Amino acid sequence: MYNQNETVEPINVADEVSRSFLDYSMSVIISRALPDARDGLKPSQRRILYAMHDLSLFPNRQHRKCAKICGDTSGNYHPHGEAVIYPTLVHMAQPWAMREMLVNGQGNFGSVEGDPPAAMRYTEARMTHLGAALMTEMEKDTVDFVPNYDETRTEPTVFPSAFPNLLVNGGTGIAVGMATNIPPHNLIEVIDGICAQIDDPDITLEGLTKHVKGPDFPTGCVILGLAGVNQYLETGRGSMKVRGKAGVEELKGGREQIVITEIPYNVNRATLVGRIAELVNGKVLTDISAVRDESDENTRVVVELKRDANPKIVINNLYKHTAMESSFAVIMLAIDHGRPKLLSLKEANACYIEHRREVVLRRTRFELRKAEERAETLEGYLIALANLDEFIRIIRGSANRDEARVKLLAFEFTRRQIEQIGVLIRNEARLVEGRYAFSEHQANQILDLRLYQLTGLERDKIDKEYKELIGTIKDLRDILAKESRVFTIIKKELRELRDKHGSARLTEFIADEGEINMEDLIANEGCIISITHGGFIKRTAVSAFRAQRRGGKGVIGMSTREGATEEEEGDFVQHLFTATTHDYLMFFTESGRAYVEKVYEIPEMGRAAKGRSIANLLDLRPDEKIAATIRVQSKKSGTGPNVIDQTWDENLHIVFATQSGIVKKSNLSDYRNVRKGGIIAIQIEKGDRLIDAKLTNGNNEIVLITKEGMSLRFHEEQLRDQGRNTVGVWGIRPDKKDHVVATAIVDLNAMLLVAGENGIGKRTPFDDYRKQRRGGKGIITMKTGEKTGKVVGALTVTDKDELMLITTKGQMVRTRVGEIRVVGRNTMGVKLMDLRNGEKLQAIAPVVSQAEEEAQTAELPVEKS
Amino acid sequence: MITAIGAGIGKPKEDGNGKDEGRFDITKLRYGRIIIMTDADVDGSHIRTLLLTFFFRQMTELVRAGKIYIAQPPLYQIKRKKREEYVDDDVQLNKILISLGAEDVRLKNLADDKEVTATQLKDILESLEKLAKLSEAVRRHGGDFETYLAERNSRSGKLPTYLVKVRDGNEEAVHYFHDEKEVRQFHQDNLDLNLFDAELGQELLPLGEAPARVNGSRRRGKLIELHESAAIQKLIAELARKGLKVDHYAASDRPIFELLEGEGEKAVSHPLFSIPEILQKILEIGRRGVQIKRFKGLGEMNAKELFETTMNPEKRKLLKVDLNDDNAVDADKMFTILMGDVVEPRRQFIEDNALNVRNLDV
Repeated sequence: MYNQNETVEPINVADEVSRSFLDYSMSVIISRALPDARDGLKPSQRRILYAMHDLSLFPNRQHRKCAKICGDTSGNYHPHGEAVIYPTLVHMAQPWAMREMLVNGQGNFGSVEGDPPAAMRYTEARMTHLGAALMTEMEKDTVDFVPNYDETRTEPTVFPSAFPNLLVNGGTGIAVGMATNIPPHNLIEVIDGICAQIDDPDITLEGLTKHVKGPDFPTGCVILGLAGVNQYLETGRGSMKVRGKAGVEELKGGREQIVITEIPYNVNRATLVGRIAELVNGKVLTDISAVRDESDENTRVVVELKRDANPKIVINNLYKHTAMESSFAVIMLAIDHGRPKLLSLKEANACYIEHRREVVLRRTRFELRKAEERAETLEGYLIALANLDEFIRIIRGSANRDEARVKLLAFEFTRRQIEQIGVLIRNEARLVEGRYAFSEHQANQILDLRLYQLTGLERDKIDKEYKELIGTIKDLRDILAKESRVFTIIKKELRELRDKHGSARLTEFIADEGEINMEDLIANEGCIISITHGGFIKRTAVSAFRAQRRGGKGVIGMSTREGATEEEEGDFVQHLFTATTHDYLMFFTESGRAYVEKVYEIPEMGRAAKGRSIANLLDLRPDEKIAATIRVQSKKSGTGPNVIDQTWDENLHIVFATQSGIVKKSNLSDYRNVRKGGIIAIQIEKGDRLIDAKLTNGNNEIVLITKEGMSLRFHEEQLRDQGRNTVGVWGIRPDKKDHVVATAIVDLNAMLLVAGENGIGKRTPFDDYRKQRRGGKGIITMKTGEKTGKVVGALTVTDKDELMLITTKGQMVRTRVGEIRVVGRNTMGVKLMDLRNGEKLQAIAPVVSQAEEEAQTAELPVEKS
Repeated sequence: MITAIGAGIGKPKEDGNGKDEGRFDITKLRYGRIIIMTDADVDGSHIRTLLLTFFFRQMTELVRAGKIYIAQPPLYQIKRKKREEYVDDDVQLNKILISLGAEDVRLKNLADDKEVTATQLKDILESLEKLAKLSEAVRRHGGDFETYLAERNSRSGKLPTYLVKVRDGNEEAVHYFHDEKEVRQFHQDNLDLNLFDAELGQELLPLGEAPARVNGSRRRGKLIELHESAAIQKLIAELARKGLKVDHYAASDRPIFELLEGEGEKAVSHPLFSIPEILQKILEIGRRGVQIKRFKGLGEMNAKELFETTMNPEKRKLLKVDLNDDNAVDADKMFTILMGDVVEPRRQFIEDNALNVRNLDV
C-alpha cells in the first residue's frame, strides 16, 4: 500500500492549530453558544421551534412526540444528534427554567430536583402561545431566510419575535473565550421599558429601571441589594446575591421550624437539601434536628429546630453555608450584527426595537404589495364589469384564449373613463401617455371571471372590497412614510401581548444588610428588655404592656408570670430596663469578649414568655458565659439618608474588673465596629475571668469588693483609656486565695450592700468608704469570719430595691432592701436568711420589684432620639 | 491511544537517572506515521486541536520527528452526469463550478463584437470572483455597489473610502466620502446628526460645535470605513484593461456582452446587461446538472468512499505537521494562548483574528 509518490505537504504546527482553533471558536461564538440579540434564541432553539412550526404544533393543536420534533429538527435544519436536541427542547418546556415557557410539554419533563425527563419517545410537546408568538407573521417576508445545511429547504436567520425573548427568558451559554449569562426578566416590565425607550431614545438608566426593576426568576426568590442589579443593567456585567425564601412556623409547645418555600434560580433542590443534611451531620449547623423535603408542585422544605434555637440565626447560617444564598453573575453577551456584544439594558432594548422596526416595515411593505396586486385585479374587474357587453362580445368572437387576451390588452381607456368607473389612479406611472391599458395579469384575471361573479350582488362586493382596499393601501403607505406610526404600531402590539400574557413579578428585592441600614426599616419604638438570672433575654413592646394594663389591673398577670418563673424554672428577672429598638446592647463574656446587638435583634416576645438564651442569640463560643450587659443609648443626628449615627461618639467609657483585681478603662468609641462573632474587649490572663463591666461618664467612682471582705474605692480618673486588646492595670491587689467578687458604681443617694455566704449581710453608706489610690490592698468592707463566711456579692442598692438571695441548693428568697439594717463599714451585719445545714448563700442579685416594673412601664416612652 | 502508539508518555527525567519506565521513548514507536483523521466540520477542527495539543505537550519528540500527519477528508462530493469529484473546501468548490461553467461558453463583448479568449475568460472570471466577495462586503455595510462605483472621482477614478448611513424616518440614505475631511464637512453641515463611528464604537462630535437638535430630535447616522476600497480599485482597473468598462457594472438598457453556450448551430445566446452577470451566469451554467453533496462527518461516507477520498495512499493528500527549532517557540506560545488556562489572551486572539476564519459552520 505504501506509495512513494503520495502528496504530503508540510504544515506548521502553530498555523494548523491556530487555524483549526479559530474555525471552531468562531463557529461556537457566532452560531452555537450565544443567543441572538433580537430574538434571544440560540440557533439550536430556533431550529427546534421552526421545526415545530413546520409540524403546525400550535398551542391549540394536539401535542406530538418529542422524538418526531427532534428527528425533524435534526434532519431538516440541525445536523447534530437528536440526543443533543432533546435536552434543548426539554429546557424550553421547564417552568422552573424559563420565565415564560416557549414549549408546552406533555409528560415527564424532569423536575427542579434534577430528575431527568422521560425519554423522547414517551414525551410530547407543542408550542406555547409565546413560543408561537416568536414566529407570528414570519411568512410575511419579515425576516431573511437562508438555505439549510443541505440546501433542500430554507430556514429563518432570526424570528420576528413578537416579544422581547432575550430579556424575558434570558439564557446561558459558554463559548470559547467568552460566555453569557442573562437572567430572566418580567414580560410586563420589559415591555414597559421598551415602550418608554421608544418614546425617549435618550432615556436614562434611572428612567428604565422605573419599569425594569431587575431579574424576575421563575423560581421566585429574593435578590439582595440593588447595586449589582443596577450595575449589570447599566454595563451588561454585574453580580448579585440571590436568596431562597424561608419562613418560620410555630409548632405546638412553642417550638419553631423553618420552612423553605422558594429556592434560588438554577439551584437543584435535592442537592440543596442534601447539603443541609451534610452540614447538620458535620456539626456546622448545630441547631437543626431534622430536615424534610415535603415539596409537592410547590417547594416546601422543612427544617426542624432544636429547642431554644433562634430561627433567625439558623436561617442566616443556611444563607451563609448553602446554596440558599447564591451569587448570580450576569454577563449580557449576545450576537448583534454577527458579532458578540456585551449589552446594557438600553442596548438590548435598542437591538429589539430596531429589529421590530425592521419587521414592521417589511411586513407593511409585504402587505402593501399584496394589497396593490389585489387592487390591480379588482380594477380590472371593475373596468370589465363597466364594459361588460363589449367584453363578452370580444370573448365570444375570439377563436381561443390567447386571441381574447390580446384583444383585451389592446383596449385603452382615458383617465376620465376609468375614474368614472370608480378606479383610482394609484400611481401615475400606471398610465401610458395618459391612457390606461390592462396588464397581462389583469387580462388573465378577467378571462378567469366566472359567470356568477357578474351578478349584481357580486359586483357590489367587488366595489366594496375595492373601496376598502384603497383605504388600506393609503394607510399602509402612510405607515411607511411616518416613522412615528411604525413606533406606535410596535408599542401597540407589545402592549396587547403584555396584557394577554404578562404575569406579576415573582422575585422580590430586599436591601442588602451591608448597604441599607436595617434601622431605616424598623421604627424606633420603646420597649422593655428583660434579662433573667439564668441568661434568658427578650424584649416586649410597650404596646403589649399597655394593652394588658387596660384589660385588668395588670398586676395579676405579672404575679402569675413571676410565680411561674420562680417556682417552675428556678429563674427570675434580674435586669429590666427600657430601651428603644435602635439602642445597642453590649454583652461581655467572662473570657473578655464583647458582643454588640441591636435591640431590635433581641427576640420580641409576650410578657409571659421566658426569652431566648443569650448564648444562642449571640452565637457565643462554647463555654462562654455572659459576665455583664450594658445598654448603649442610640444617638443620631440628621434625618433621612443623611442620618449620622453618633452613638459611639459620646464621651463614655467602659470600666472592666477581673477576678484577680485587674481593672481597665476603654473608650466606648472602640466598640463601634463589633463584628457578629464578637471582639476582644480585654485580654484575660489564664486562670482569670471578667467579673463585671460598667458604663461610666468619666467622673464616676468605682468600688471593688473581694471575697475576703476587702474593698477599694477609686475615681476613674486614675485609669486612662486603653485599647481593646490590652490587659489593664491593678485595681486592687487581693491576698493569695482572695479574689474580686463584685464591683459597684458609687451613688451617693444609694448604699453598698454586701452579703456573705452564711446568709449574713449589711448595708453601708458609700461615705464610709474613703477614696483610695488604686493598686493597693484596700480596706475592710465586711468583717469576714466563721459567722459570715466569704463575701459572695455586693450591690449598689436603694431603699426601694428588692433583692434575690440564691443558695447553693437552688433555694431563692426575695427580700426588701429597706428591711436590711444600715451599719458601719467594718462590721459583720445581720442575718439575711436562714440556711439549712451545709447550705450556703451562692449569689445575690437585684430583682426588679413589681412596683418598679410598674413604674418603668408607666414612664414609657421615655427615650426618643 | 498511548497504548496503541506504544512509546509511553511524558518527558524523560532531566538527569537521566531514576525511573524512566513508561516515559516517552521514540525507539518503542510502533508506527511510522500517526495520522489524525477528524470530521471535516468545525467540531473536527476542535478535536484536531485537542489531539495536536496532546501530542505537542506529552509526546513532543513524536511531533519533532515528523511522525504526525493530518488526513484531508473532502468537504464536498460533486457529481455531474457519471463523473464524481471530491472537493476539499468552499474555495475549491467555487473554482470547480466556475471552470465547469466556463467549459463550453464564449464571451463576446458587444461593444467591439470581439470574443474573449479562453485564457482571458479564465482571468476575468478569477478577478470577478474576487470582486464579488469585495462588493458583497460593501453591500453588507449597507451600501449599493453600483452607486458606490458611480461615486468615484470622475477624474482620478478613485473610489470612496467612507460610507455614512443616515436614518431619516423610515428611510435610509447612504452617502459616500473619499476622505475624512469630507466626512467632517458633511457632519458640520448636518449638525442634527448623531454620527456613530462603527470602528471606534462611539459617537463623533462635529468639530467645535455642541450637537444641536433640530425640531427637538436628532437624526442617527453611522460612519463606516470601507477597507475594501483599495482592493476593489485595483481589480476594477485590472478588469478595465481587459475591456470591462467601469460603467458597465450597473445594469444597462441594452446588452453589453453576449455569452454563447455550445457550438455552432445549437449554440444558445445569453444576453448580459452588466458585468456581474457574467459570473452569475457562468456559475448558473456550472451548477446545472451538478449534484453537490456536503460531507460533514466521516460517517457520512461509505467505507469505499472513505478509502478513495481520504485513505488511499495513491490518491490521498496528507499534511505533515512540522515542528522544528525555528517554529518551536511560536508553537509553544500558540498552544499556551489557545489551550492554556488564562482566558483573556485567548479572547484577545479570537478578537484579533476574527476576520481570518476559513469556514464558519452554521
